[in-house]
Amino acid sequence: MNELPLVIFTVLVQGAVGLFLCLGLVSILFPKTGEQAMNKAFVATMVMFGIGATAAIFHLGTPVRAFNVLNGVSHSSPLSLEIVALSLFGASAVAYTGMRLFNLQPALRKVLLPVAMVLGLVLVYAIAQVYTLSTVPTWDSGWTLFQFLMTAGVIGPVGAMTLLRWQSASAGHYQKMADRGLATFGLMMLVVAVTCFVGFVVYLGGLTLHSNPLAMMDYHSTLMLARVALMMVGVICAAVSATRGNHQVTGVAALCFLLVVVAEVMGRIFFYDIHISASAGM
Amino acid sequence: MTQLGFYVDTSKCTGCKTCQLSCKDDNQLPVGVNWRRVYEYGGGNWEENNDGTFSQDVFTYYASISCNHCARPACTKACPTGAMHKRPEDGLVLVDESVCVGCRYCEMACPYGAPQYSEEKKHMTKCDGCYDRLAQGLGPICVESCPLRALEFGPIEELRAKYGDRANVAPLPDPTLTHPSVVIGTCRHSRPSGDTTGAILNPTEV
Repeated sequence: MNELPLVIFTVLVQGAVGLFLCLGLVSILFPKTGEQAMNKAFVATMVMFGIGATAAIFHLGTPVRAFNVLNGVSHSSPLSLEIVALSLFGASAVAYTGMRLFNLQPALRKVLLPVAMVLGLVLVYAIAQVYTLSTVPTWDSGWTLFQFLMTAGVIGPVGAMTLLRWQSASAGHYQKMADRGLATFGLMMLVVAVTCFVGFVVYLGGLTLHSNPLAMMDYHSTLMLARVALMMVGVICAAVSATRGNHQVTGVAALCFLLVVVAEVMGRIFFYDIHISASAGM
Repeated sequence: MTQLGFYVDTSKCTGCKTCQLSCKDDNQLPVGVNWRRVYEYGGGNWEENNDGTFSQDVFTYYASISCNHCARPACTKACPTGAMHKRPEDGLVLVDESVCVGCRYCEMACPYGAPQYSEEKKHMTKCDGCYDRLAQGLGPICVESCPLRALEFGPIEELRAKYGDRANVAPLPDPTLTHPSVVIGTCRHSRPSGDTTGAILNPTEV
C-alpha cells in the first residue's frame, strides 16, 4: 500500500498531539511534578512527533520539492493548510519544550503551553479536513475527524503514563495521581472510541456505493476485530495497573502503549483501504 | 475563456480501446498509466416471467474517459503545490511537471481517476488535451484515432448545444461534484450515476 508513510505520519503525529495534551494537563494540574521528569517526557513526545512528520516525506515522489506544498495556501488546499498547522504546532511545542529544558521565561511558558495545546487540536482538525472530500463518500463525514481525535485520545494518556512511569524516580509523589488521572481519562476515551466506532460502521453500511466498504479486503474483519481488541487490552491493562498502585511499573505501560499504537495503525490501514470515490470505481 | 471538452458517444463505442492505445503511444505512457481509459459498464440477471420461464436482461456499454477538464476540478482544489492548474485560455487541466511533488492527493480527490502517478517521473501525469497537437491545428490523438467516431473534442458549449448536457451516466459520478466538461451520448442501456445494478467489468484493464 502506497499510503503506508501516511498511516505512520497520521498515527504518530495525532498520537504525539494526544501525548502533548496529556502532559500539558499534567503540567497544569500537578505543577509540582518533578521538573526533570516532565522535561524528558516532553522531549520524548517531540521525538515521536518528529518521526511522524518525517514519515510524511516518504510519501512524496519528489521529496526535494517538498517546500512546494506551501504554494497551495493561496487557494486553501487542505493539504497545504495541514502542513501549516503541522508547522505551527511543531514550532510552538518544540519552543515550549526547549524553554522548559533550559528553564527560560517561566511566565511566557505558562501562556505558550495552552497555545501549543490548542494548536495541537487545530492540527488534528486540519489533518481530518484533508480527507473530508466531497468526492470520497466513505471519508466525507465527521467520522474522519472523530477517528483522528480518538487516535490522539487513546494514544495520549497511555503514552503519557508510560513516559511518567519511566521517569517516576524523579517525578515525585504527584506522579501517582497523574498516573491514575491519565488512566481514568484513557478509559473514558476508550469508551467513546469503541461506542462511536459502531456508529461509524453503521454509517459506512448505510452509504449507497458501488462496492461494499465493509467487504473491500478479505482481512478487514480480522483486522478490525484485532484493532478493537488490542485497543481495549492496551487501555484497560494500563488502567488496571494504575488502580493496583503499580504507578512505577514502566514495562506494563510500555507494552500497553505499543498495543494501542499498533491498534491505531491497523485502524488507519482500514481507513485508507476504504477510499471509495463517488464514481462506480473509476 | 472557451472551455474545451469531450463528447463521448456510448451508443457508438464498441470498446475497441484504440483511443486508449493511441494516447498511450503518442504520450509514451508506461505500464499502469492510462490517460484515457475505456470502462466496460454492465450488469443484469435472469428474471422470472409470469409463465415461470426465465429471460435475461444483461446489458453492457463502454465509456471512454480521460480527463474531463472540469469547471470545478477536485484535483486543482486539492493540489498543495499549484502544479495542478487550469489553463486560463482553454480551461484544460494540466500538471506543471516542474512543480509537482508527487504527493498523490489529486489522485485521491479526483472521482474520474484522471491524475495518475508515474513511477518513472516520480510525479503526477494526466491527459493534457493534446495541447501540443491543438497548437498545430490537429485534434487530440484519441479523437482522431477513434474508428467509430464516438469521440469529439471542442468548445464544450458547442458540444452541449449539439448533444445536450448529460454527464450523469454510470460509471461516472454525480456531475455536480466537479462540473465536468464532458457530454455523454447515451445508449439504450445507459444507467444513471450512482447506479448499483451494474459494475465496471474490466477493473484490471483501467
